[in-house]
Amino acid sequence: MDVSGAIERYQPLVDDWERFLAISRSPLPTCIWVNSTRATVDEVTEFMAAEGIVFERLAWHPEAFRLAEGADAGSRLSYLAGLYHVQEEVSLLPVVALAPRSGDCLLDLCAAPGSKTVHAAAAVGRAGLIVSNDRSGARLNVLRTALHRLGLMNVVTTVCDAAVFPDSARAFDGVIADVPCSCEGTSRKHPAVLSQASVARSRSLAERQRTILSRAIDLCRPGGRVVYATCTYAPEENEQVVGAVLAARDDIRILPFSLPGLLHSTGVTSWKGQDLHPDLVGTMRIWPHQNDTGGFFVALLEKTK
Amino acid sequence: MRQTARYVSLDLHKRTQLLEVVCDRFGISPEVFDGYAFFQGGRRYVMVATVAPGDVPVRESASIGVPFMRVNLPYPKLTTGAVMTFGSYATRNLVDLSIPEAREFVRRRAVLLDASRMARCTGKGYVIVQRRNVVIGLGFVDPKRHGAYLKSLYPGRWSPGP
Repeated sequence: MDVSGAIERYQPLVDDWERFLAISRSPLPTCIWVNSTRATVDEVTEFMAAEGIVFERLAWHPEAFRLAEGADAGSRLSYLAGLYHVQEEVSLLPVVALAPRSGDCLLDLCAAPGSKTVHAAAAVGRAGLIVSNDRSGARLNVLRTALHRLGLMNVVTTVCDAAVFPDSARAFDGVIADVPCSCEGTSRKHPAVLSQASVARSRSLAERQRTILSRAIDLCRPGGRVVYATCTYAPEENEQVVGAVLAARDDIRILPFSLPGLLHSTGVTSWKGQDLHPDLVGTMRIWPHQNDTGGFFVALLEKTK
Repeated sequence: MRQTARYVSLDLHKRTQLLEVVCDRFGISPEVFDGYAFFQGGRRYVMVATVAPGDVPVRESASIGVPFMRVNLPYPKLTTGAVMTFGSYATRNLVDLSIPEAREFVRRRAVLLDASRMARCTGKGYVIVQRRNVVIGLGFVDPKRHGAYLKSLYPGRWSPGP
């Protein structure tokens, strides 16, 4: 399959281009995380093993596992009993980066189909609350089914354009802004994206992404955290968006973070002859060949005042 | 923002009545439900959440919590999600299935219970179904009509199919 110029331009950023291309065209491994609101990790893994599910723990997440090929994860008793949830491995990163605590009140601003809401709801527990928003109410139906199956009763859904989400009765302890993007990192599920990626499309998305990120920061309490995430490689949608919002505001800073066991690249600080904010080195890029996952970008921000 | 849900919290009397049905049938202590809000939105379901509709931090919401009980039936029925959350506290009308039986159950097929498991049922009505202390759903027994067969009430849209 041809690779578009929009993808080829990333070659200087990737340490092993041929391996990147090969992995980007191969199917994704299946990843699950344990619903520890229903049972302990040990209880769940014992139940899974009794069903004959073969799995290995992720190096960087103590409650997440990669299943062997052919596991048929969505048909197993363990899944049907709500003991685990199937979620792409890299998309676990926003909630892990946010590190919510029990009792936190979080906003998932562009939530559908809802895996990050589900992940966050399990993390904050009964004492916490998630407001899960998307501009498409229909797309939130998948979320509601998952919440029901997993027994997560601490979620309120709203249907609103993220860019104009209204002020709420309280500022949120954390906000997840997993914004609409060009999805270049999803080629292992949607191979055509490698040949159809376009710089023009990335540039056209950036303004809305900046607006959503800025609104996310508005809605976060001082001292709280905002996670900006995409599943694309384009700096126009990643570092340039975060850098632009950093430059326009005096109430946020990037919090560098790392996860032992997860290989990643740092954010770029220069792109196509333009120097970007030096703090962007504290953001995180995941290339598929680094951990055998999809592609992803995460920036963890703290609201300082 | 689009609001599509208007919920009415159950008053204490209705809440007590609703939970008595569950507690009596399954031998669940009422304290298990402390801290949860129950409210009705529409004719079919009572919903459950960790926050009451009046306490959500947003002015308008599309949904709050998850379905708890379907009430527009001759015998109001806990939802499968509610059973999986609260069913582990049950002390009666609770049966354990083998893996092959559990696989039949989630495919909405009836399971034949032996005498010892039928003895754990107190007569016609709903039965919580589990596998190795993990609740997987709700069934129904009617000894006079169906003998020792446990009818599966596993939701069709959740079933993995044949």
